[in-house]
Amino acid sequence: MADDRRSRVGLAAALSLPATAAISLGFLLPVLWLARMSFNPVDSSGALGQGWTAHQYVELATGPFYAELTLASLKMAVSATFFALLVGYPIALFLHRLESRWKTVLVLLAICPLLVSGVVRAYGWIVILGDAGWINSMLRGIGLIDRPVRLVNNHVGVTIGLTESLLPYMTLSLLAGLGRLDRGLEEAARTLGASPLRTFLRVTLPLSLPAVVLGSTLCLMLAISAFVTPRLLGGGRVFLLATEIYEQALVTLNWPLAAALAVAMLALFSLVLVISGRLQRRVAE
Amino acid sequence: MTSEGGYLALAALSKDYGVGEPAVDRLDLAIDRGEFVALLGPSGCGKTTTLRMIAGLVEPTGGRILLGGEELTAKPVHRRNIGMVFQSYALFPHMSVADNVAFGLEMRGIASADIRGRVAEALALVRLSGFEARRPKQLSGGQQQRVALARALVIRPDLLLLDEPLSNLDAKLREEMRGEIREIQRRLGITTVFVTHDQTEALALADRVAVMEKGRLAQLGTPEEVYERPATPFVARFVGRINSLAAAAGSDGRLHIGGRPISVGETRPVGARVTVMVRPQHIALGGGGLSGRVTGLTYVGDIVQIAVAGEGFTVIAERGTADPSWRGLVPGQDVGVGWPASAARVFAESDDGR
Ligand SMILES: Nc1ncnc2c1ncn2[C@@H]1O[C@H](COP(=O)(O)OP(=O)(O)O)[C@@H](O)[C@H]1O
Ligand SMILES: [Mg+2]
Repeated sequence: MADDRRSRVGLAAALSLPATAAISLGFLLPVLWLARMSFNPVDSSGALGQGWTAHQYVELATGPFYAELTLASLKMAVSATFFALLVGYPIALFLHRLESRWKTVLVLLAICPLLVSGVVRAYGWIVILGDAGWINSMLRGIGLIDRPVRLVNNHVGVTIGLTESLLPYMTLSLLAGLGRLDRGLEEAARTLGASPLRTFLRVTLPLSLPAVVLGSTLCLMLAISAFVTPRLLGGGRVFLLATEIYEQALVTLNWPLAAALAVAMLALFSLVLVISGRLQRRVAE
Repeated sequence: MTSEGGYLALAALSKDYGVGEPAVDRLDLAIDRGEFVALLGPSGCGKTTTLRMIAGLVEPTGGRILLGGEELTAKPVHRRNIGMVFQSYALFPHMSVADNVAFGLEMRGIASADIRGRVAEALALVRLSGFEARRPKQLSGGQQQRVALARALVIRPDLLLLDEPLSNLDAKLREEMRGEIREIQRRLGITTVFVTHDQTEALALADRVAVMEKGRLAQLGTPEEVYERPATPFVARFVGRINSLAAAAGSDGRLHIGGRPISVGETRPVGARVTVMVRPQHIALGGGGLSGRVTGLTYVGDIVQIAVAGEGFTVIAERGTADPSWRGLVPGQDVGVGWPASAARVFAESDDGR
């Protein structure tokens, strides 16, 4: 009996070996290597030196620029996640309740933006939001404005683009998390005298909170690490952690600083995860 | 308020989902105040749809619903003051037992001090005092059922609706809860509509049974009426077991099976073809006008079923196993078959939609 169990555990370990190896090689090692590099010194010519230094971290901790950057990243991620939630929640609720045979088609439709590269979608947004884009042409056409409204190359454009790119993830996570929400519960609330609004506030919303936390966590992390959308729709005028890492790694070629920034971002992720774990436990009660 | 229309009146109530036959088809039903009515019928006959229309969860495509003389049809669900117990119980998983029961009172803006008293009272009624702080998932099926009942009753509804409330419980618990529901209903005197596909449950519980067939009312009557004087062959077959025998009227108008006259209390025009229906416990073996042969005995504990076949008929007779008269019977034995004329129901063959 005990032998049997031991051999089964052994088998499970053996079977998970390839995955363990792949994760170690493809994820853990690079991260460790990144962490190591963040402590490498950089000499005056900008070349990578040997040995250990905390210089990069001192710079991150003391330079007000990086604190602002982190704050800007967080703000951007939070607002894009918030808007994605605002748009995605009704969509997910609608899809969850749908009993028609079109449900699968509509769910696929909701996530099909994932099939198109983020670069293409960002350029799509420039076509729509640019100074000569659809929205500005339309507003000018009906005489509402005479100078274009700035919708790209700033925070507005990045927020719009990020929201759109998060939407499929948000909708999908909400949909996955809405399982506990049974139509019968809302009907029961209604027969007990709750108006549609109170039914939503007292039954639908509380029961969907775990889904909201799940979706928001995923989207926050995706938004913090997003770099294509801020870069293309920010037009070089929106500074965030992710764009700064790109800048340091590929333009300035200060790899240790880029590595330190990446480690800082990982720390931010851990923070989001811890908070989300706490929230998840609270709302799942 | 026991006017002719009844306390709860359904008038030509219909629901057509737009796929196939209408789920409920011009249903007329009048229920008196304080009455316990069982809506009985096979799965898919429109019981749930009827109940949900009364509650306001399904919009009728025709007809009217009146409660206490007041038109309900256009009233939104949350203004109807109707308590409903769902088949799945539909307890709020994120609330304690007490909060579940308090929900309807809160929605009515009742002061929290009063709420506490009434919740305690309702939980005492269903024998769940002390379970206030539990979550629904920490309760057994029977206990969840009781919470659902308490939650529906605490709002002092004008009408209580129960949709197959016992179908998720095991047999023993089902019988226990059945008694409990009836007892509480009597004590509160609350008008109740109880949906079930289980004829035993319907007969045991209800003051009157409404048998539904394909969205229509087949018969409304006391348990004795629907069992002993079924209005249609469908009701006869659905409520309890019954034998069907094809018979024809001879030249004297008397009914015959296989050329031999049978005992029924009526005559028919010459040549008329009819279905004669007799409950198994009324089949007499030994004397009688027909002769047959025992083809098998099935012993099922409290009763024994004796199958008999003869010329142009097969019947099943039932005897209580305490009754010694069946003991001598063996398959292959010839027996006379008969029944008291009062026990036979005769339907025109055209009424028998089988
Ligand atoms: N939402 C619905 N949409 C379409 N058809 C339905 C719907 N609900 C029930 N029906 C159909 O209506 C008929 C009656 O169903 P129902 O009232 O649930 O019967 P019962 O409760 O007696 O089993 C069935 O044929 C069922 O398939
Ligand atoms: Mg049903």
